[in-house]
Formats: sequence, C-alpha cells, structure tokens
Amino acid sequence: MNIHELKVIVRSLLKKKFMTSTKIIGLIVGYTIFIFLAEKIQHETSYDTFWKDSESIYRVGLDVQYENGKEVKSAKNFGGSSELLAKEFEGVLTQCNIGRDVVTIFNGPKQKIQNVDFVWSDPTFFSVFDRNIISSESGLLLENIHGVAISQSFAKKLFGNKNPLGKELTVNEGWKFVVDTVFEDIPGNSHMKIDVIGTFKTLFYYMRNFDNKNQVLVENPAYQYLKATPYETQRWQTPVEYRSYCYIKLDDNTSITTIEANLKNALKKVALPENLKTAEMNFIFQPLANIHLKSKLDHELSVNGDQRQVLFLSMIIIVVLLVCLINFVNLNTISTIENAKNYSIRILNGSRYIQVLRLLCIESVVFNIVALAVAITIAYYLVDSQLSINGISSFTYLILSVIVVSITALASIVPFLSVVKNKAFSVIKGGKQKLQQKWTSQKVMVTLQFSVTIVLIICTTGIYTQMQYMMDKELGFNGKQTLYSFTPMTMNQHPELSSKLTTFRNEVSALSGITSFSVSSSIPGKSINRLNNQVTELGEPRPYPVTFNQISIDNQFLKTYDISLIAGMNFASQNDWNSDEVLINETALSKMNITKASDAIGKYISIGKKNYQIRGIVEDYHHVSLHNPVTPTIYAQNINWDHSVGYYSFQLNSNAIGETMDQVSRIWNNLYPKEEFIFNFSNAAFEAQYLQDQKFNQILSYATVLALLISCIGLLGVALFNTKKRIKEIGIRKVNGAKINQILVMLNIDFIKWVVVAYVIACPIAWYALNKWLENFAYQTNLGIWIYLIAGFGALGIALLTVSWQSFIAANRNPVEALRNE
Amino acid sequence: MLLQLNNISKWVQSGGQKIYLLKDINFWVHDGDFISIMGPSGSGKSTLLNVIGMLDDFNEGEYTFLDESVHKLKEKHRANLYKQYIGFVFQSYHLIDELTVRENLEMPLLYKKQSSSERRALVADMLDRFNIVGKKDLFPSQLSGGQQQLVGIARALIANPKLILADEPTGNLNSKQGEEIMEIFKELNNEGVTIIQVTHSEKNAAYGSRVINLLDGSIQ
Repeated sequence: MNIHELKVIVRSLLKKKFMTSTKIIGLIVGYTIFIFLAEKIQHETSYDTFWKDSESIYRVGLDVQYENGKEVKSAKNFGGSSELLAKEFEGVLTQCNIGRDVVTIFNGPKQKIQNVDFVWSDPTFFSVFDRNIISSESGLLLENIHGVAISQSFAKKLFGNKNPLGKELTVNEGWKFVVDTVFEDIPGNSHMKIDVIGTFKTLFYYMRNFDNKNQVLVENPAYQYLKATPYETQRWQTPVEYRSYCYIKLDDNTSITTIEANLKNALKKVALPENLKTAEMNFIFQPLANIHLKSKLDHELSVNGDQRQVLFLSMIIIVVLLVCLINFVNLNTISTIENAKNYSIRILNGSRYIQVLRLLCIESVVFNIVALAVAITIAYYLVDSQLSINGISSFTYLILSVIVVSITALASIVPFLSVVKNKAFSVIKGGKQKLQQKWTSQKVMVTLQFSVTIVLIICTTGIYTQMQYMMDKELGFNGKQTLYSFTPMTMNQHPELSSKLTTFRNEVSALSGITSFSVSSSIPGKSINRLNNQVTELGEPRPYPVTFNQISIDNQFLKTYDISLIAGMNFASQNDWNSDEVLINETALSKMNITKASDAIGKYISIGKKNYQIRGIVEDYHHVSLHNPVTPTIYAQNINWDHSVGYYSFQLNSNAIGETMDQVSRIWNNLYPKEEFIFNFSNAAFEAQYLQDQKFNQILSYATVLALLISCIGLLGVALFNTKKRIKEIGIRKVNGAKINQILVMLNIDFIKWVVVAYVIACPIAWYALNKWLENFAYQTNLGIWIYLIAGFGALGIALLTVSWQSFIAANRNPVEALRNE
Repeated sequence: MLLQLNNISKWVQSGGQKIYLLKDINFWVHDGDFISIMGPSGSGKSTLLNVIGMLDDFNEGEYTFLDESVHKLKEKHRANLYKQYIGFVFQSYHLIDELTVRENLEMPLLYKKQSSSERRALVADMLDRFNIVGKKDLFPSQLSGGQQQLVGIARALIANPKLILADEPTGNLNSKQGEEIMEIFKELNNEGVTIIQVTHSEKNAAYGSRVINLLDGSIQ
C-alpha cells in the first residue's frame, strides 16, 4: 500500500459522505451486535464448564413414578442417593449433598446483608467442586463445628480488607459462626450461587443445641453426629422440601452409563420405604455443564437458562451478519460502479487489474478497521454494563476476524468482478457513464434483508404483545397499594415471636394510613418453596396424587391482597397465630376431585400427621408469573413455618406512603431493634419475575431496530443507484408529459414488488418462531393477524419512505439537466 | 511508419443484419504526423480512434503498430503496448476528482514503477512546461475546463508516449480555450509527438497535416 492510494481512498470517502457513513454505520451496527450476542451466547453456554473435571461431575436427580401414576422429576434427591452410589460403585470418586438456604447475615450491630446464598453441605464439597482455598484456619476443611467457609468476595463485603479468618458472623435468629475458610469465588456462570457453606453436621448441632429463648448456643461437647447409612430407610423418607441436591464425581475410566445400567441392583440393597418400593424409581444423571441450559426438572437450584433462547440468539447473529454482509457488499458494488470512470482512467494510464483490486481491497480494509474500532468500543461497554462480563473473549475475536476477513474479501472481489473487469472501458469509450443494466442480484439481496427484518418485526411485536398481555392480565389479586418487607430474621424460632408480632400488628393496624397488615410465608411474585406430596383425605390410606404448595397466611392476607373467596369463610382472628383450619384454592379443589366448592367446606384433610378442616375456597389467582399454571395450594394459618423467610405486607389507603412507612418503621425499630426495616412495593416483586423476558425482548427490539436500519441503508443505496440509472428515462418521460406522481409510482412500484416478496417469505418463518417462543408460557395471548399486517405495512411504509426520498429528488429534476449529457 | 491499418472492418449484428461501424479502413500514420479525423455524428470517428488505441476489437483486417501485429497479440500484450506508447486525451478530461493536479500527473508514473525522485522531476517538468505550477495543489473541480484539459494533456504526455489520441479535446471548451489547446497540440507536434485527433470543427482540423473524412464507417 502506498500513500497515494490511501490518500485517494480517504479523500473519496470524505467526499461521498452519505455513502461512506451509511456503509460504516451498517458495519458498526453489524459488528456490535455480533460481539454482544456472541458474548451473551458464550456466557450462556459456558455455565459450569470452568470446574476442574467438570465433565465427570454429575448431578443426581430423581425420577419417581408412583404406583398411582403420578411422576415426579426433581432436581433434588434423597440425601442417601449419592452416598449409595459412592459406596456401591468404585468409579465414583467422591460425592456431596447441597441444601440451599437463603439467610440474613449480621456482622455486629450495624451491618446486615439480606438474601445471602447459604448452603449446607458435606466436608467433601471441595473435593467435588474444586476451588482454591485462599486461607484456612484449621487446615481441615469444614471440620470445625462452629466454622463456615465463605467466598472471597463475600468476605470482602463483610469484613473489607481485614483478615476474615476467625471473625464471627451471625445468621438469622442468632446462630453465630466463625469464618474458618475463605474460598475462591464461584463465577457467575454457575448454576450454584454460594456465599457461605456450612456442614450438615453443624446444622444439626445448632438445631439441637441452640436455646431460642436466650438466643445462645448451649455447647455440648458430647454431641455426636450420627448419620444413617444410605442403606437405611430413614435416608429415603425425607419430604421434597428437605431433600438435597446430590452430586457425584467419577474417575476417568468410569462412564455414567455403567452406573445407570447397574443402578437397579444397587437400589435393591436399600431398605426403601413402602411408597418407593412399589414405585418405579430412577436417577437422572446430569452432566454439570448441561444443567443451566438443558435441565427442566422441578425444584431447580436456581432459575435456569433456556436452550431455545440461545438458539434464537444464534439465529439473530447469523441473520444480522448476513444482512450486514449483503449490505456492505451491495453498497460497495454500487459505489464501485459509480467510480468506474476512475478505475478506467487508471487502467488506461498503465494500472494493472490486480492493482485495481488492491485499491478496492484497501478501501474495504479502511472501512472495516474504522468500523471495528468503533464497534469493539461500544460492545466492550455494552458487554460490561448489560452482561457484567469484563472484556471480550479471544474466541469472539477469532470468529470476528474470520468474519471481517471474509467481508473484506467479498466486498472487494464482488464489485471488482461484477464491475471493473467487465465494464472498465465502456465508461471511457462511450465518453459517458453507462451503469450496469442487470442488477437483479442487488435486488434479491435487499429482498432477503427485508425478509429478515420483517421476521424480526413480527417476532418483536408478538413478544411485546405477550409481555403486555402478562402485565395487563387480571391476576386475581391486587398489589398496587401494598408494600412488603421480610419478617424480622432475628425472631425466627424465638419464644417471643408471636407476642411481639401481635404487638406489631396491633400498633401498625392502628395507624390511619394502613388499611390492613398481614404476615405470610410467601407473597404474590415470590416463589412458594414449601411443597407437600403427603396430603391425604381423612381416612384414606393414600395421599392425593398431587404435590400441593403450602403457604402460611393470617386472617388479613386475603384482604391485604384483595383475593376473593368463592365459598366458605376466611380465617378467624387468632391470637396465637395458629389454627387447625385451612383454605384451599380452586385448583386444589379440582385436584381433590370435588366439583362443588361448598361440598368441600368442613371436610378434613391430613397433612403429615395432623388433621385440618377446610374452611374456605380461595378463588384462583396467579401467585407466580404466567410462565407457570396456577398450582394447587393449601393456605394454613400458622406462624412457625420451617423456612425462615417470611413477609410482612402492608396495604395503604393514602398517598402519604412516606409518612405512613416512617411510622411503621418507628414501631419496627422499637420491637426489633436489631434489624433495619426495608420495604418494597409488592407489584415490583411480581414484575421482577419477567425480568428475563423483558431483557430478551429488549435485546430483540434493539436487534430489530438495527436490522431495520441496516436494511433501509441497503435499500437507500439501491434506490440511489436505481434512480441514477434511470435519470435519462425519467427525463425523457417528463419531456413527454409525465407528471411527478406518475414518475414516483413508476420508480416505487418496483420496490413494492420486492418488499411484498420479502413479506411472503417472512410470514411463515415468523409464525413458526413466535409460536415456539410462546410455548414458554402457560398463559398465552391470542396473536391476531394484525401483528402480521402491522409488520407488513410498517416495512412497506418504511421502504417506500426510503425509496421515495430518492425518487422524489429524481422526479423533480429538470429534465433538461438529465438529457444534457447526451 | 508508426502504424498501419489494412482493410479494417468492425460490425455489430442487429436483427440478422450486419451493421458496419467501420468498413474497409485503410490508414497509415508516420512518426510526427498530426492527423484530424472528421465526420458527422455516428460516422465511426470515435470507434476508429478506439481501435487505434487498442481499446476496441475489430472483426476483420490487420493492424500493425511499430512492426507488431496487433490483431495477433494477446490482450495482455496489447495492453502493454498501448500503455507504453499511447497517451489518451478526452473530451471530458477524465481526471480523477479525488487527486490534485500534481497527483493526477504522477498517477501514470506510479504504474511504471519509477522512483519517487524521478517522478517528482517529471511532474515538475510537466507543470513547468504547461505553466500550471501555481495550480499543482488544486483539485480538478477547482479548475476551469481549459485548465483541466491542460492537465489532461500533460498527464497523457508524462510517460513520454509516441502517439497521442485525442477524442474531441476541445468539445467541452469555449472557443478561446479551444484555440489555446490546439496551439499546444501544434507545439507538441512540432516537437515530434504524433497526434491523432477527432474533431467536428474545420478550424481545428486545419491545425493537422492531414485530414481524414469518415462517413458511415468508410474513409471518403
């Protein structure tokens, strides 16, 4: 490359500002989308691949087909399962169980961290999940009965730069632990989010020896952690709620299929309980790296990704790149045709063809370098802010460089072949510019671009409609004037729990701004963690073949959230916050095979070993997002639920929210001085469930707008070229009496034809993609034909506007100017 | 003898009929000639010039350029031949808009792989010779038509060709500018450059030593 060539290129680019900027913008947009989506896809597919020997770690899920036909496929399993495998199979190197807990951690009187991911596990945890141990107090991992292991970043959050080892932290109601070990953070792309790890041994020790009344641990040196072997019945009786996530690690020579094949024999050695003996029981072995995208079991550890979404994004990447490539090659060909004169002059003055190709190549390279620099800068920022990924992976760079090289090559060779080689002299010989007559390929490419764009428009509109539908759908409850807070964690299991709660309720209810106050184990928008598959009609030997959700509420819950009863009565006010009556919802009613709601009132059901009388039937409402159908639910009135998280809800009657909540806060601080009062809007909790969908829709919307932009740029280029080519024709027609509007119609009709073809191609593809996506939702909106019409007319309108701009200028020219060249 | 055309014919097929663009052209040029080709529109003047300049093929006949049989040469050899010996001047100048006067002049030299000091010397010579030193950093669009054509001629000359082909070099110029350009051609001819020009104007044709009249593709 010499200075001369570079100079010409830069000057001509600066001269043709419009063409140059359209080309560059097209490339920048394409490359930015590519980098961003490539990073997103890599992030999604990289889940749990970072562990050492990740491919030989499996999660052992549970698949049970009970005698009554009910099948449960759960990510959780009996604690004995992985231990049994480790004992029975030599190839299983090690195993561990994980039980998840969400806790509040206190560090002294001042600092409080909510929503901490706390897991109970075995001392073998780190032998399965290899992490660098950054520092350890005892040298023996998780051996200290008071010790916990915390992650590096959590240590920093709690203790700053001070040495965390030996420091104390307090969990929930006052369990005090000592930081024994600090481990390397588990990256964000894992299905496990863990801040703190404690052992099951510690858990049982504290449960047994913690004095709730005085909030102190009564040390018991004689304590021995006796765990039943995996062959004993009691290890296989744990209710779903308390089961663990079980993991095994195989040695290099063992394949999971041998274990699968011999599982039945191993299970025969176990004294299984009656309900499992008659059932068909199987383990689901999931390679660690498959969990995030492929696992769709019940009771997952965290919200998993979706393979379909990854597929969708990959398709968008290909489509956007294709559009971007077509566009650049197209525009480059057009500007090369326009520049044909210059190339001819060069050839007449001694240039060889290869030197022309080189010139075109350098030009493409210049475009790509500028576009890449801008795109990488933008993408770097986007990836950081949207995906919290720092830096762009070398894999992305590798693919990107392949793409850039191919685009550069194509964008110099195609124009070179189609224009320079064949038409070099026609420009010079005739003394006037003859533009290429055949340009079907350009039109076909623009049509393709438009098909893709229309598909994106239809999908985005469809997804937006579904989102809107979910936002507007009558959910069966009202959280508009309602705020919630977590229950005070320091009061868990505390003897004064109910008396303090009663005081709190009485004082809060007396406030003029509060219309009702309720305490419950879950609120709409928050998942129901309590499940029960042992609900029995009184006197029946077998439980209903359904897993019921359980929520603990009080007599104000229905009022606070405006939920209706269709039969029976609400709970009566109870001072001890307990009753042996329950409410059930409509879905539960139908699962119990009762058709008439009033028939159920007064019936008895037994849950576990206790009997409850059905007092009322709650109208179905959507407790969780519309992704899920309404589940059969039992509402009980008791305050000592096993899960520690609970919610206070406040329904307000006025707009003076700040003032009212200040008053509530004062009451709270008097009663629960150890904890800060933090509240949120209940509506926000519900809407937070759609965050994933909204993010996806957002990505798609951006991609759509940008693809539309690139397509329009492409169309504009072709329109520009088309009108230039037909300037003489337009002049002649005008001289012969054609009106401006007739010229416009003539110029535009051609493009309308191609947009219609694009539309016909796009519709079925969009229809298919959209329906695939809607399968994600239990409740789907009706996508009317209007979505397709809007997309069609929208694309047509935008295409016409783009084209007409050029057509109008061409049609309004003085024909004398156009014909003067002759 | 610089070049010789023997019985050159060129035609296109239209509706099953041969339409002759050039018919039986016999034509020779000696070193130092200044030939004017005249004729009405469509008589084949430009086609003839393109054939001579090896930009166009012909269907029949023989073309000898400096003892080389052009009709037998391969495309590549032909290109080398005209690049070496022929300079072109056009009615609409055909300068590269993105290059300055100096760079436009330098352009043909770049393809001849001459060293940059040689190039600078040659360009400076040309600028001097055509009295356009003051315009060297201007772009074509900043020049008048006459000045642009001057640059066009200078560019055609810079590689020191034996033959200059000029296709209506004054066609886009006013009469005064036209006269100046023709004077320059005359001077060049006097210095020994062979020139073939196509023109409409009797007055311009008079500058030449020989006039060839074309009608319907034949020499009259």
